[in-house]
Amino acid sequence: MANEKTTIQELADRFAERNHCPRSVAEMFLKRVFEQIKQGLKDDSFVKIKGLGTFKLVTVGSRASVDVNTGERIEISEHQRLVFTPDNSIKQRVNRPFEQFETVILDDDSDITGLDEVDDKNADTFDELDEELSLETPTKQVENNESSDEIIEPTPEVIVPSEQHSQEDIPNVPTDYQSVYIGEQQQDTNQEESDDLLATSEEEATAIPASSTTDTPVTESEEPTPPTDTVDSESEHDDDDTEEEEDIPSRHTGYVLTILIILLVIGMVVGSYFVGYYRLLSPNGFSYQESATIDSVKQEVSVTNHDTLAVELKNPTDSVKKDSMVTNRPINEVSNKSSFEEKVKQYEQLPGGDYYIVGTLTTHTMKPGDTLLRLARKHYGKISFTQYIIFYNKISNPDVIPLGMTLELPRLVDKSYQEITNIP
Amino acid sequence: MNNREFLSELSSGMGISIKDTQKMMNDFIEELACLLNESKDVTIYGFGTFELKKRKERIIVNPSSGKKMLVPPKLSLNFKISPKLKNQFTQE
Repeated sequence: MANEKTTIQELADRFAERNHCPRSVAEMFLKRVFEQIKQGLKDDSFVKIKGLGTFKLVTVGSRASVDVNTGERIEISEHQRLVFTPDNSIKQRVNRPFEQFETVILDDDSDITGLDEVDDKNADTFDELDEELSLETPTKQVENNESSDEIIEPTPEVIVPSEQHSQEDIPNVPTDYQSVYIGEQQQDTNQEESDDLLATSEEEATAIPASSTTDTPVTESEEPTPPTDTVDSESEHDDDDTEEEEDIPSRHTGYVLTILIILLVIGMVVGSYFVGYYRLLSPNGFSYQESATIDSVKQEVSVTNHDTLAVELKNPTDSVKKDSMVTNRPINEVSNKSSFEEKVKQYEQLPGGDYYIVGTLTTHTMKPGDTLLRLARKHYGKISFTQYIIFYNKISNPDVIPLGMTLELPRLVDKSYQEITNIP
Repeated sequence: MNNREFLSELSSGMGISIKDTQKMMNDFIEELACLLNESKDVTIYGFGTFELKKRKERIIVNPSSGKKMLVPPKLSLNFKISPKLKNQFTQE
């Protein structure tokens, strides 16, 4: 170690400056300190100084050895050795330049063969080490952190569709209106929350008329998308890294590989969990997929050709009818439309709202823990529908809802959808 | 000799209060650490040298869990006794 050497004089200078005392006093103090340590060692054979450490005399027993020059066997007599153990506080104080580094737990299959090469390259001087370390170790840690971040990330994305599944099951069943209109709402939320889902559902739209058992492929194609996205971003990030630190490529590829494997495994686990969950808890889960696809079909059609709308609508709704057991109502566009307009007039409408209130969807008795926001999200998928609940029940103070109060949740119809269907 | 004994001896030698002695000791230690962090070895004649050594980063394996861990590099404080003092102790 090519460290610069300083003596007690410089220490005394600094000390005097810090302590605002004459230099002579400072030097005397320091000399006394070390004299005192020596004295203490002679008396007690150990001196403990708070903040600095412990000086200790350890007795080394006599042992046989060989004279290096002559080769004679000699005996090293018993003597005492001074051992210094630094205090924890000064250890940390002295390690301050490196204190940002933390111990990193490595994965079992990570490639560490590159480490030795790097270590060989390391020079002994501080400055070079500092530079290299600031390149290597932080990036390593960043990678590790990010890998943990990425692992967490996909989960909420995956959850979103499944939450919707469970929510939509309830309103999907009652009427044709409902399945179609709520489907419209779903479309909105879907567009906001994941474009992937929309894309897959649109793809499925072409396949739906052929077979109604496309449930499993859909969910499978849904689940892997978030991981691959994150993998992409990850690999981009890695490219940047390799540009920065080209000298350790082998270790780097090891990290990338590890992260990829971890992401893949977690994606599969989460995916399989939700497939099972979806199958078990929502036997009516089809209807969600169906209605979503109906909407996408309907939207495409309505954009391109209005004339085929009625026909297109009938076909998919037939399949919905079979699958989701809604067999009661015959599909009659005209009568539906007129009865719909009557209903709209019958109920008081929220001024400026995007939806018409056309009846009561269901009732709900307030329990502890229920909130209007939660109700709105549960039944309509968005908390913005709270205003309809408040309006429909004429709640004067939405902040205070008495327990046991029975709320009627309005059945809502999208005004924009209404406009579309009114073009015959 | 523990810290309290050391301080009391030192304060009586210097003719200042124990409290002041403690404060001066803290200043001295802080100043020592500053010097060391400027990558300087502090040599005290007739006593020894305080020096900072860098311990390289290394990979250890936890024997119980078998997990590999990357231990970051760190700076450790080392003390090397001066030959003069060493002789004194050896002769005794």
